Amino acid sequence: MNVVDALLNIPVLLLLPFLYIGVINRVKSLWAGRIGPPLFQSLFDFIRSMKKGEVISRETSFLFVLAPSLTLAAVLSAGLVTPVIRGTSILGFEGDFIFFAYVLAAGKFFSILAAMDTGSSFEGMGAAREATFSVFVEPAFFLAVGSLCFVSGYTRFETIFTVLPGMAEMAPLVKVLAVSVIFVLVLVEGSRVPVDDPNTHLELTMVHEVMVLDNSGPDLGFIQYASAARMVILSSLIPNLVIPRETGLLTWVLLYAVTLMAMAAAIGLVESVMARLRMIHVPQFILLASALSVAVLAASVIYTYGGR
Amino acid sequence: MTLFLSGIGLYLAGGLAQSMMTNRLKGKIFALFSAPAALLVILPSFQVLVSGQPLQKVFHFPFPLEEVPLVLDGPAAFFVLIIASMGLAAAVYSTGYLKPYVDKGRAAGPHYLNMALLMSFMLLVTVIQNALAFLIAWEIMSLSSFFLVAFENEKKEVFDAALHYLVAMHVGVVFLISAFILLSIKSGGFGFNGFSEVFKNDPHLASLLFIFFFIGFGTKAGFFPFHVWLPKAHPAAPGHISGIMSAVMIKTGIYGILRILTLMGTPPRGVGYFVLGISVVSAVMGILYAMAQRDTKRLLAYSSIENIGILGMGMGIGMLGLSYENQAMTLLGFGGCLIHLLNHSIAKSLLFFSAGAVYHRTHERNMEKMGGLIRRMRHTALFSLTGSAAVCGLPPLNGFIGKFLLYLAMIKAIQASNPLLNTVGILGLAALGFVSAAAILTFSKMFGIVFLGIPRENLDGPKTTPLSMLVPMGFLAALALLIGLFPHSVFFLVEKPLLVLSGNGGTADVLPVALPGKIALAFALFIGMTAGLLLLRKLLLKGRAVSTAPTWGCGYTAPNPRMQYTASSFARTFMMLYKPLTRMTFSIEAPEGEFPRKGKLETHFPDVIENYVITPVTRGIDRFIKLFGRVQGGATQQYILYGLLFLVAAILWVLGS
Repeated sequence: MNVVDALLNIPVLLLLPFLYIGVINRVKSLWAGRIGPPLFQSLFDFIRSMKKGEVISRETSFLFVLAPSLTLAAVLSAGLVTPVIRGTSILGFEGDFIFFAYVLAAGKFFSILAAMDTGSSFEGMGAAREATFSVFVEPAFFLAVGSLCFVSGYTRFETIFTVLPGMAEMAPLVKVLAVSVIFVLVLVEGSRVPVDDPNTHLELTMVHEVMVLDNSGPDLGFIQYASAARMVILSSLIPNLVIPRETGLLTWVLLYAVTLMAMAAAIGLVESVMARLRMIHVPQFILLASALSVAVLAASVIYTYGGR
Repeated sequence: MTLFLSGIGLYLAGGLAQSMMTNRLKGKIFALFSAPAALLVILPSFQVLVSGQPLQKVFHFPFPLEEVPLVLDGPAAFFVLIIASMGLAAAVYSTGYLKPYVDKGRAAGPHYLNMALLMSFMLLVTVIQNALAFLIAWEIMSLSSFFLVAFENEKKEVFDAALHYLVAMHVGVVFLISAFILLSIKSGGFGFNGFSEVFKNDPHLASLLFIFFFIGFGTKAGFFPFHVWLPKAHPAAPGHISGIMSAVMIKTGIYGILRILTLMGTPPRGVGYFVLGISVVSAVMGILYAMAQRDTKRLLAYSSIENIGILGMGMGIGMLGLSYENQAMTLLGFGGCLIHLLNHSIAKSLLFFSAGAVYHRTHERNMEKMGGLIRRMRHTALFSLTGSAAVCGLPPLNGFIGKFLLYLAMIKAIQASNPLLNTVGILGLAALGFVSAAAILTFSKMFGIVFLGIPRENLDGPKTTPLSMLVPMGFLAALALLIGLFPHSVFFLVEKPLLVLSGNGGTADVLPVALPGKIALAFALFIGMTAGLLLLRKLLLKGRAVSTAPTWGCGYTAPNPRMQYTASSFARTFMMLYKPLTRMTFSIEAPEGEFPRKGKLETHFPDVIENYVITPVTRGIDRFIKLFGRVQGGATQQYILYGLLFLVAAILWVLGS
């Protein structure tokens, strides 16, 4: 394990989420013909919410207080095993992607419970939607990573993503499909259009926004930051899939930053040109991710067995 | 072995001793006997799990039993550990749970006697290696649990459920008896050790026998098409009995299948695929039905079916590993199966105990009427939350460890150099992911609706939960957390059983050695960061205004508890998508007219197997039996005529020969 790379992961993971959101919003503003908020507006918002007090619903229990911190800690723990700089993760072990998926699920579980804790029917509705959608996300994630394990022959994030970019003869199709799966997962997990609209003002149409209606102050800051960080962590898988590891550190980081910003811009574009899907169609959209994963698998099977 | 047998003796002694006490003392006496008894059976098991050397003792009985070997080997010791510890927790819990019944004057003696029998014979089932003696112990186990389920037998639904259970068990045992008889005829004796030869000599017969055993033991375990008794018996039984049955007794079915596997050597390939297939179906259908339930204990029962499916997947992968000589698949598959089994026992006991505690306080099992119980039952809520998170396999609790190994086992199948195994591994992986996420939906629904929000109805009951119920729950919750923090412990516990199951007599590293340390580190960091962020939040809010206010009603100013999201609405979006699978029925009477009266909406989720298989079949049997109604007229003359005809026939037959 490369210590410098691993250490670099920490500031990248901690700071990039603010810029990521900034780029998304900037692209959306430019598309709409506005200049838009500063790139680091979400950082300013985060600092401001850290300075505030809180209003807590009197119907809630300790879960409501625990959930935001736990959710953020879950996302950061997932970041521990994510390969960020040159395929290096801070803490990697065999099967670490299972921990990745489950620790994120733990965060989700508690945020769902915190929403139900308030006794609000709207928040219950958001919680139910979140739980329902995640049933479709998990198989897609495991199918995608499973096929990457199949192609690479390894079972930990770090080694999978070290081997894959170097497999030059690997069918480009596998890579393209894998990148698309991860992109769909980023849209779903980051609660972006077409799954969820972060800008909507009607509670009935919300998913994530409605779950945090009663949160304020530092808790709200934690939740929003966790959501952005989750997107960055998932997005980090894409540059690791395509940029060869042998590239020099500086070039690699530069390419990484460009890829991530390109993804943020793509999310902004998607959000500018289309509206959120009807709730009933959202599971179908997420199933698209599973379908793509199956395609990744098919492509990798052809690559593995067909080549010989 | 002497220690082990004296432990069993102590259970039986406890069963007898309590019957001489006054009604109020019975539970306490039994619990008092259970503690040293559990210790006595756990000690030798622990010794086996450390040394790997099986303990045994051979008894000689007159015909037809003859030689009965009792062998406490790795797998048996592992199950004994689970049975004894969960049984002890249940015994302590029962003293609090049954108190209201005892106070009303109900005799607890027979109940505790049956509990003693159930405990002793569950333990004996794991060590007996003689088919006939095994079947006798198995039958006593089923019968005593039947009486335990039928505790409140004056209630019609309880009695029906208990009868249903009894019938299901006997349908299952028919398969066991036939398989054992066939084996005994072929091997010329009842001893298990003779059976291996039969399995090895004829692979086709072996497959057939295995499927018979699978149906027989699978009925006890609750694999999907044989599961119907489970969601009936569990809600009917008292809290601690549901706990014992779901956490321990159904696992004896898994034990049976594993024991047959050790006798089989290398199972034929098709059998492994069969087990894997049935397990995937059990897991998926189990969780879909669990999600639909409104009765907490029915939900938990269906979730047990799901978990039996999950650990069955591990067993299937392990078997395929044996057939394809893939060591990694074998070890991870069986290892995941055993560890998940242990973790599920802990989590499910905990959940049934807390559901029992809620019933104790509210006399209600329908979660649509609950809500906000976290304020009235702080400790129970915390334990139930632990159980829910553990059963979903969420870090940093124990449930993750077993599922983790199962995922790894699937990945190993994906990486094997056989296209069929690859496909199966991928499907298994997706199924595991689906089931786990659906479990999160199910348990967030259960915990959220029961404990969170605002009380939906006024449920009166006892003001406190007795300590005797809280302590076992606390013990189990602590166990769940400790196993999560020190996964080394369970890796160690399954090591010796795995050597037996994988047919590997050596002492090679069984599971990846570095893994538990890494998992523990990741868990510790997760907990540490959570604590750190909570501390940060506390520091930030120091001296600032933290006020309380009503929940934001989105502009609506007069919300009431009935307007909260309900259990049915929580699962509705998902259930609608799976309507064809679950045969949901839906009837609505909308309010109509200028002055609308009350409207009505009903949704039901009937069990497919019950409605479309069991009911038609039993009805068919009923009709068939009625055909003989004419013969059984009831008139005495008629029977005398039968007797006469029989005598005449007999005389003619004798004369003719």
